[in-house]
Amino acid sequence: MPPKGNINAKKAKLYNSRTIRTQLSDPSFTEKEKLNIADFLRAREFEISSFERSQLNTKYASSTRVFQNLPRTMRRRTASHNVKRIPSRLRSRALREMQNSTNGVPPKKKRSRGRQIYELQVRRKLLKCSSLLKKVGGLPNDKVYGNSNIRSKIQELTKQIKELESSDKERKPLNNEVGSYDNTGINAYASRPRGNIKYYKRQKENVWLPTHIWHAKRFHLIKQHGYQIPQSPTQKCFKSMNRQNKKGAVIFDTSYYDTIIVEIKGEEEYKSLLLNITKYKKRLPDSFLNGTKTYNNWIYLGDETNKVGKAMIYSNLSINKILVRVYPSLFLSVFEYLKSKVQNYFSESNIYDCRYSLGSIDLCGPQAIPAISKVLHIVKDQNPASLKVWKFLASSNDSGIVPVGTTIAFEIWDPRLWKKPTRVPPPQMNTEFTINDLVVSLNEGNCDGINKTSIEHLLSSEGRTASYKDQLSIKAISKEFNKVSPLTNSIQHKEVAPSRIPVLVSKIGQNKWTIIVPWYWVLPIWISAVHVRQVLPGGLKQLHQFNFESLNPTFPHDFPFLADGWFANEALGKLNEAKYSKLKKSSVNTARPDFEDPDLFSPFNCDWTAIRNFVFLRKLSKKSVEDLAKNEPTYVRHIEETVHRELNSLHDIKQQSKEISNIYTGTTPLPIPIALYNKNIEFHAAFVAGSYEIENLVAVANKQLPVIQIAIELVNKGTISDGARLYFAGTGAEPIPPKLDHFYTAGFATSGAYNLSEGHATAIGLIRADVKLQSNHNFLFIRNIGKTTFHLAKFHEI
Amino acid sequence: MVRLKQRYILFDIIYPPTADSVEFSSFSTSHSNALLTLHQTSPASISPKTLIQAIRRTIQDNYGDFGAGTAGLSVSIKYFSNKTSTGIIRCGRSSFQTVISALTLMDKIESSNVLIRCIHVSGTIKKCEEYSIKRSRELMRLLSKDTSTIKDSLVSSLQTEAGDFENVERDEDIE
Repeated sequence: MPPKGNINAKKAKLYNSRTIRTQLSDPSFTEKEKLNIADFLRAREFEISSFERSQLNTKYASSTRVFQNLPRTMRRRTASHNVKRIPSRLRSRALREMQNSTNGVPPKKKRSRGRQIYELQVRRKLLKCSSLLKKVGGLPNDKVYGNSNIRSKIQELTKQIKELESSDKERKPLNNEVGSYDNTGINAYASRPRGNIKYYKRQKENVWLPTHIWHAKRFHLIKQHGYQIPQSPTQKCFKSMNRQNKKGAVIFDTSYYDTIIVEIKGEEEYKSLLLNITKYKKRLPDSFLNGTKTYNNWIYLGDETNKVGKAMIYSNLSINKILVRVYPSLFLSVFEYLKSKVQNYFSESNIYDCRYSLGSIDLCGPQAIPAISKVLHIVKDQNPASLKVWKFLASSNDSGIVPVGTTIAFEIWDPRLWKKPTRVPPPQMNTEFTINDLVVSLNEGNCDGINKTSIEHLLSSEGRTASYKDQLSIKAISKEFNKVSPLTNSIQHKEVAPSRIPVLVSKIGQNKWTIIVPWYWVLPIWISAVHVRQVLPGGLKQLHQFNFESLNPTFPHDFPFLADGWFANEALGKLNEAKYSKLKKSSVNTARPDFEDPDLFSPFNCDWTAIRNFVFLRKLSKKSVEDLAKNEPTYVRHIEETVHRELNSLHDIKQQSKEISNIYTGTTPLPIPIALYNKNIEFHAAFVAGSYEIENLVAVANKQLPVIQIAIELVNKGTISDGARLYFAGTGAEPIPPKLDHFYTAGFATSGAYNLSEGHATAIGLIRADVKLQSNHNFLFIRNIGKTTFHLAKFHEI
Repeated sequence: MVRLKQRYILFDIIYPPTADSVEFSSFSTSHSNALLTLHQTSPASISPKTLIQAIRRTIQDNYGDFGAGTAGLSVSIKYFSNKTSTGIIRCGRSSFQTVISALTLMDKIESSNVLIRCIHVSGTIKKCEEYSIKRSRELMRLLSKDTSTIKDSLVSSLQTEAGDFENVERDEDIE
């Protein structure tokens, strides 16, 4: 029987906590009386204090552990039994709590014996050998990373150590003690980085970012495109990220973006390559050529119609180098194309694969530059122009004044030499040059914030290796800090750590900045940057959220007309189909509008093939939509094993669309069913005018439906989810709700959700390009998958 | 199990002066005077028990048996202070408007005239307490200001403006 005394005590405690004391009035005064000011104030004070006391009592009536007093973001799961996870100021209380309770103490660790102890010791010896090799200045060679057992690995390492100890300093592969080296591929692919020996096996298929371990403790990670990319923080952060994007800054590690450097010594060929891959057709802007602005737009491989995706291109004619930064899935096609071009040039030209030698950090939000300026300490004896520009940017809270593409380059000291983030001193009060002058000069493109030496160092392998020279380890830095008094914030950088880090800062989007640094300097900058109060780290999902909230499309989800977006769409469809097939038959409702016939019009993703088939088959049948709706379905004729179908009614068209893929028997793969509308392409122009022609069924399978990208906002209440079907609203004066038939679908919403910035549901989607023919107002109807209600929405083209 | 939701009503009893009372003339001389007159201490006859009885009686009178059955039974007093004449009532979520109107319609408790007004309604007692704390602080701040000269200055400014009006020309449209 549990002891009853305890329960009564708890109940009494809970009951007592709920009573609120009142001030007792004098029993002699039984009537109402007017108080004087002093008494009135005293009475009110007593009431306030009794309310506050009752609130505290109820909070502490139920038993709480000390770590429950921490905010949600600082709690750790194992804090209840591992005292080291609690911040130091609460540690003594936690220890006392654990002593009193029996469950708080963790069980004693069993001591391993025999074979296990041998394995642990051998593993420890391997790590010791590899760190000794680093100290001596070498990198483990391929044999160490191969499939040998640990003993042979240790032998290999000791052999290498002996060799290096006897050689002189210039011939060593490493110029520092922490293992930082420059991993560039010259006219070939770069070799995969192998990382720490301890974690080598996990990086065999997916490369780890420099900040991987930091993210592993706090983020969910996803394996994509050969990297392990942080997807989202482990805590719920949808609203807090939205707030942070409006007022503070959000920081991302985007080292997974692949960079390629092309070096062309001849000026004509340099310019011709740029004209080839960018949107500029005849003349390149001067600011782009001399490196004060970056290009952040579509990249074309070959002709104008072959858009592959958006990229950042930085070019600097004075050092003859072009930097191309692309999303990792586009890397292969872009690299092969550039390589084929570069090999045919007369002048001396090279292509460098800098995937694993240049890393980057992205920042979003209005406080992006002020926050990062607290961490990047510029080397002062360089050109004062970039320092001036930087000071102005760091002092203003509005990043909208700076045009997209603005670039600044400078060199910084090691950020770990400063304990806490420190503010940049504001620009001097100078009446000759104010922030308005800066804005004007930035917009005109004649502001020079580029430091040439730093760009040279950043874009060349020797420069990057030179920046790693004598890079300090964390132990060395804390040794230096122990030498000085504990109150100092920084160490004398010039003597202790003379390494200068080349940095390129560029604005790549409306609210987005990117910082490009050498690979092994990303982690020191990151660790200092996340200590700034204004920044919160984010992942891929947050990038998608921010783009969505400002009604911008995100690569790859919102670009199904590009290869990446198409594959993402297909993968999503397969995933949803697998989930659906696992449901029990009793819980599946096939009476819903989209699930009656999944083969005809897939309810699992955006079925662009079906829309393309419907539109072109109707054109092939040479009948109007009203005629088709009126006619009865005809029977199918079989002629010599081919199925011949007359397209007389809507039913015929639908059944024919299911069989289109069987008709095509060629060897080249079919193109993606949709393409972004381009008025220079004949077929697209004819489509929008309504004068295009479709000859036969094979043409239906081969042609691409032109589409345009739109942003949609609901007019009244309602929700939009991914994959919602879009319908035109008719050609009359008022929008008319359409018939519930797949034939009338005009497009899909690729991303749809509640938009916290707008306050109602919005979506990004694609519809057929002949909008003007089908309806004369900018209204649409939206129907979510599986639902029957239509919501009215307005749209505008992006 | 679905949660049964409550509403906590913060109310207070105020005593505006009637024409035949002593404080009538001095009521509007200054802010502090007005506030002190309104927020007097309640007589000892008003206690939590008598308040509940009065509320139930009012509900019975105005809303009948149905009202008394739904709203009247779930009313309870969580806090009441005679010195400050403020209190917190708890009632069910569906009937809180009945209770508030009953409070408004009450004019007598145990033969003393009362005027009850509802200041704040909230789903948790913590928020009611917080609102009351904020309000008390605001009252204390108002009282500590010395505003006795405002009335005279307002009256004098009106008199000077009245003098300006003597030279106004007649409007011709009014004819």
